Amino acid sequence: MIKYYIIFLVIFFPNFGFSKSIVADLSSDSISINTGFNGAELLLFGSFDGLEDDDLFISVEGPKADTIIYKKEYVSGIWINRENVTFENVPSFYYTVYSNTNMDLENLTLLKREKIGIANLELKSIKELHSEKLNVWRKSLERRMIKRGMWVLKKGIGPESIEIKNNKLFRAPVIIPATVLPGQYKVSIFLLRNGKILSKETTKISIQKTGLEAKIYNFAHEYSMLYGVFAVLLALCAGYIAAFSFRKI
Amino acid sequence: MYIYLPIAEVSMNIFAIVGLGGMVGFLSGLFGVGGGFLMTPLLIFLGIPAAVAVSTEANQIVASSVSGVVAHWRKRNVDFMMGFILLVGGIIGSSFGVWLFAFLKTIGQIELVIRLAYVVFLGLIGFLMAWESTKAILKSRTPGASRGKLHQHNWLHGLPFKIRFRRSKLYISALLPLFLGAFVGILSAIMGVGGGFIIVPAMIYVLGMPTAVVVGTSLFQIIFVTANITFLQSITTQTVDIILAGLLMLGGVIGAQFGSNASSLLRGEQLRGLLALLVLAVCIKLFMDLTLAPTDIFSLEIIR
Repeated sequence: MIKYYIIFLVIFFPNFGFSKSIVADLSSDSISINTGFNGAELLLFGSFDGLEDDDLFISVEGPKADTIIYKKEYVSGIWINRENVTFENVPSFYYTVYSNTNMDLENLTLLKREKIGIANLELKSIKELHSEKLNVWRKSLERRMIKRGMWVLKKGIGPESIEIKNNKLFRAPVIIPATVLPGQYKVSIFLLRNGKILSKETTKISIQKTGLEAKIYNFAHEYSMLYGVFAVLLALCAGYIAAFSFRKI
Repeated sequence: MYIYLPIAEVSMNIFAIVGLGGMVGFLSGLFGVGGGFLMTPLLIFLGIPAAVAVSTEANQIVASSVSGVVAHWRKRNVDFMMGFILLVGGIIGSSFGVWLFAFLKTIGQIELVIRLAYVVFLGLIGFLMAWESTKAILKSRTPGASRGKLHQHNWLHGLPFKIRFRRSKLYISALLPLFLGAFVGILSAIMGVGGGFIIVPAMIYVLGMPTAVVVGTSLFQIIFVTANITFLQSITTQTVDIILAGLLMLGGVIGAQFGSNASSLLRGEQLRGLLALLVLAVCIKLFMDLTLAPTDIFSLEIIR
């Protein structure tokens, strides 16, 4: 009976068996920014139903923020910010791993169509610009974000990027720098085969300020006048105590 | 050991921050200046956002000025009348400066203006001090050189609203310290300095105050001006990081005590000569940053 049922499923639902073909988890799904926070390293791991030539693509996308790009020009002897372009809703963090070193054209167009990967993110500028001109600005945005370590692209198999065992198991480190913004981080894993997305799995990392860091930040933003008074009083006391404790030296 | 700074939103080595505070504190104790003109560029260089560096440094200068003024107070080296008029001007100037800072930030030119202000004022003051102290050192080597007049009289002494400043042994217009205070207040807010390196020479050369009361009086007024900046920046930009300020204070006050003890080992003109070299070095570094081709002509800023 069960045999017939499976045959029935395979005929009418050819994706059966693949629909949940990626199972992934993180070594931790929340990171707290506390006093000792200096970035974090998580492990993304799981299993998938793969074949020899399958590729995996992983992305971790941080909260979005408007981002201004300034362009310097040499004006009468000094370098001055002259033009600027603001891009809307730019991911403040975008960590990507592609298990294949040579991006073949098929997969490249696929990533482009799905708007995944650093070069394919959909970014809009606030003011309308000629597409060629906009591309120059966009490329420099990419360059600056990569330089800051906030956008990352890792290619190929390795302990630094992604390790795959028997086309079944994978493990990939996710390195979070200390300068990340707090918020929800979206983790996606794509299984690519012959220029198609065979399967996709998503999960989340929550990065929040906690403890003293959160208290000070909220104090500064919600009761800013009181915070200012407190900061001044703190400095007055510190200076006064210092002057008297060092009197005899 | 790393510490995450809640307002600056960067992680830094705790010993590096305290050490930096101590080093700059030592120099400020030695030379009798606030040290902001060294600290603010160094903080920016270490990766603290410029706005946070400027505001937080103002907060730290409050502490270092308080600890400095106590010693001068004991020696009766504070001219309160002069200090009061300077700080009235200073509060007006620094309030305008905080507004100007926020405005320049929105048009994306704050970094440029900070750097230009540093280059111009450090260059000017450094050059004047180097010239003056060289002259003084050469003069002291010539035996029998006579002491000049207490101060020169010029058109500035013809201004109205004259007030007698007893401790400074001066009878000058109140407008002079008022405008001086306002001018330095603007620079304080923009550059993240107490302004000692501008106000001290100005008090000596423009107002003609005796050197003994200059440092104490300038520290006295700097307390109020930087407290005003700390308060206003907290309200308008939320860029005062009390953790960073606290660590800098810790290093700074310790360093300053050692520095002020070391200052008795050197003569006045030698101190001024050394300070001039330090000021010029910072000036040249910043000047080169402005004029040399940047590695990337594009830069980015994330708006929260």
